[in-house]
Amino acid sequence: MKLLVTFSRKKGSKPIIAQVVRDTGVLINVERAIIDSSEGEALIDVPDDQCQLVRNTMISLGANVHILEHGIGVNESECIDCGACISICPREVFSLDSHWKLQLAEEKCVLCGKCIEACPQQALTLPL
Amino acid sequence: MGVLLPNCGNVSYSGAGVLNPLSNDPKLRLIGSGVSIFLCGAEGMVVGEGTQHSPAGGFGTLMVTGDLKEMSQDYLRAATMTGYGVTLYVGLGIPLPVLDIDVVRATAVRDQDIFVDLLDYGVPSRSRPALRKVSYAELRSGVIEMHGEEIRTSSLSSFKKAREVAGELKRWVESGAMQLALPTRPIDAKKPVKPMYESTKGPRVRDIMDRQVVSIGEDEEIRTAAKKLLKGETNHLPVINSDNVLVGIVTTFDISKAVANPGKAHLVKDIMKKKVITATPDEAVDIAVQKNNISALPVVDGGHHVIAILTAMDLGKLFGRRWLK
Repeated sequence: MKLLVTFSRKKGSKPIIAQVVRDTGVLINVERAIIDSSEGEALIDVPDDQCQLVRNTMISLGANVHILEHGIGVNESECIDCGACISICPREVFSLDSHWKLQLAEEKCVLCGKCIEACPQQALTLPL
Repeated sequence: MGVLLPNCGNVSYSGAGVLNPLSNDPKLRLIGSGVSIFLCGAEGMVVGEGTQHSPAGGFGTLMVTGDLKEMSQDYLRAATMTGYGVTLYVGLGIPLPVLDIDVVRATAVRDQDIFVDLLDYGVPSRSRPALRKVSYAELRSGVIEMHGEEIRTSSLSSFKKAREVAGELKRWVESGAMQLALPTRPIDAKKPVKPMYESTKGPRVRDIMDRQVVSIGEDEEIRTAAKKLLKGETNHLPVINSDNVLVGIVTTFDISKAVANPGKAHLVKDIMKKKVITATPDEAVDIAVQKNNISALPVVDGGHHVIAILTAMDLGKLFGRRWLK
């Protein structure tokens, strides 16, 4: 399950993710992280059964945690199944099936948003 | 062009390939003025050749007409392409009457028979170098191979929609809703396009690179490399193997380090940096220098042979010449 962790600048100076890994023993896979002077955001992947534990521990350390049920979303009425998103996706989320219809492997998505600007129909949106 | 990733990171293409009417009638015997067509769900007509019609170069275009009010959103959509701008997706189908054996042959075309040039859009010139020929079958497969690497492809037009257009057009013809017609005036099938003259050009690596490049063999001694550096008054020596292929680079820093800490390293190949960032002559200077923050780039040809070197010093040539206006 994927979690989106956001923290303010003050909290960003503490090793929150490392501490959660040490305290809970859960192996956290950081798939994407942006940390700058004012705030930080990290997309992490954790095993489903330990998701709540990690979430609670992170919240107790002062981070905001959203559980992400979905990856990138496609608006079926806008999508024309061209496939412009396929080659630019770093995680190979998109593919065409045997009827040339666009398929999504949502679980691979790391919500980087690269496909959003590539879509000629503006049919792709991030959840949240 | 859609989103293009740096360093041949992806390939984008457009067009329906095997379902493209112009690929099925390359001599334009059946497509011409007055021919009834499927145009975005309405019945339209071919007027004549379109702008930049260049069938000699494999890119014929058509001017068509139809009633917008009868068209369907299923086949007519607004779109925005990164690096191109605002455009329209237009679903267009042309019924081709099978009149004789030549039409049968022409319409038997397959994706693997339709070849196009694979162009490097990293080169800022109207005549971009063709990296190689590529067929629609390869493009459609999702991956093409280049320099031993797999590069993913993206279509910018929908093949699913193209099939829907073809299916709908077939129903029209079968039900008698569309009458087939032959052109009343043919379209020139051999005309090349003559685009406007390109009056300004950005500097490319070939314009400022230093062709007097000194290189060294990988099995030479470090002393020899030091001498060459002194004699050539340079700080970078590309290292080549016995086949003259670039395998590394040594700098004055590497040699100073080897001299300051004498160890088991005696040969150039022991101290050279094996990961060399290179440039090609056709690359734009600004793209080439952005590849790294080091001070020299060996310039290589297709076979990875060193033909020149581009150093920070060469960038000075950009000043006071025709580039600076």
